[in-house]
Amino acid sequence: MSGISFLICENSYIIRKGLLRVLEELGENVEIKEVDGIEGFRRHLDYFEPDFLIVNPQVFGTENFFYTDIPARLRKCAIGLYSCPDLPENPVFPEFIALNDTKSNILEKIKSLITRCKGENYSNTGSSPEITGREKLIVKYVALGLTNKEIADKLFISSHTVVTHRRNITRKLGIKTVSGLTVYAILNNIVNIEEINR
Amino acid sequence: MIFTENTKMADLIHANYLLLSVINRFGIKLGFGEKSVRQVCDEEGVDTGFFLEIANAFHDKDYFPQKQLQTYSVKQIVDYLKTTHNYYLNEKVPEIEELIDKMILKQEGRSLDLVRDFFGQYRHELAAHIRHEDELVFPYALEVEAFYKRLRERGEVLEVPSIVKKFSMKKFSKEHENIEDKLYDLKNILIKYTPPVDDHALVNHILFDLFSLEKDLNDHSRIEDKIMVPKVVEMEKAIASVI
Repeated sequence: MSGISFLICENSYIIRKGLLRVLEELGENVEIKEVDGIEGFRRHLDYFEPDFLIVNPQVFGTENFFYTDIPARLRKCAIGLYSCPDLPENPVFPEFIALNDTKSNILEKIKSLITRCKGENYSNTGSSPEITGREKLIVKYVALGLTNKEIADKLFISSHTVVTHRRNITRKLGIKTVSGLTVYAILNNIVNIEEINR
Repeated sequence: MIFTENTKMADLIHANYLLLSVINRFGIKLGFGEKSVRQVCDEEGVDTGFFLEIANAFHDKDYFPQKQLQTYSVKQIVDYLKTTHNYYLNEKVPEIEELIDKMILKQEGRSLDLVRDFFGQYRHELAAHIRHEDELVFPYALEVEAFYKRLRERGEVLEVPSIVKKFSMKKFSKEHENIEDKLYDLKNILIKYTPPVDDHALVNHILFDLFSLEKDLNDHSRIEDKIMVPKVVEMEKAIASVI
């Protein structure tokens, strides 16, 4: 499971860095790449597939850049970056950031877009409390080598719910891989080695 | 700070001591007095432009290679990357493994065996990843460059080598991820979940090494992404437009 990735397209160095600073607040699992113009933007999209775009429309300089330059897949996940507080007449972007937005304001907008696009609640990533009993049980099944589908069947929940649980587990523990979770499970006596080898 | 050919070589290391390993990989040894990057590179027979690109990309996450400066070849990049791979597999990783073994000798308990097994799995993954690049990605990149050169020199349409037809840099880039996940996990396992080890200094040493290996690997993949991939993609495009 991986985190989320952004591509920032903005020609001002200062604005890019400022934005980067704000995005870092989203947590560790965020990958951010930045480009300063169209050329870099196109080149990056050739081999980097970001989940979200943050783009300054002025960089593109054409009226219908939204449809010609932004891949269809990303249009739902694109944030417009505007230097003035007034939104454009026909907003094509699903979300906007203005230069004079506050930090919390910007984060709120980005999190709400992530929630809309990924169907996950991103508003409470700040603290990472202990894992719940339910999550512990899932860690156990993962350590025993069960697939998400098998876990879903055992617990009478959907595979989608298992995926959400697993994402939360990874966020709380800071462990991403199955073998890492297995080590965690053994160290915390959630499973014992004999069970795993069986 | 962006390094130029007139920067003092010693200042590179003061700016970022992790560049020490980059300098070593070019075969440059310490003791360069007040010499500039250009002077040292000339003496050591190193391509100054290429050295600067690597040093800058390694040091500054936001450094973008300037197109007009890209006079070096894919071969040079591949040679550098291979040296780096060799450093990971034959120096850094065995070093960490040795430290983990040392920790196990000092402290009985099966939890540390788990840590060692886990790191062993990581080593296998890293080795497989490196083999994939050394045996498939790099030969592909070199083949693209060779074909591109032939195409430009002769200016006529030639038979396209099958490897060039079969792959694309984009395909490779997609596989090129998640290799650092286990390293990330291992740090947290040691920091949060392993029962306390008495020898702090040893555990700290292991953690420092893990953090710096992770950083080095990230800087390394940035060099692949920013210096090698765009160059090959550019050539792929030029080839596609002719054939």
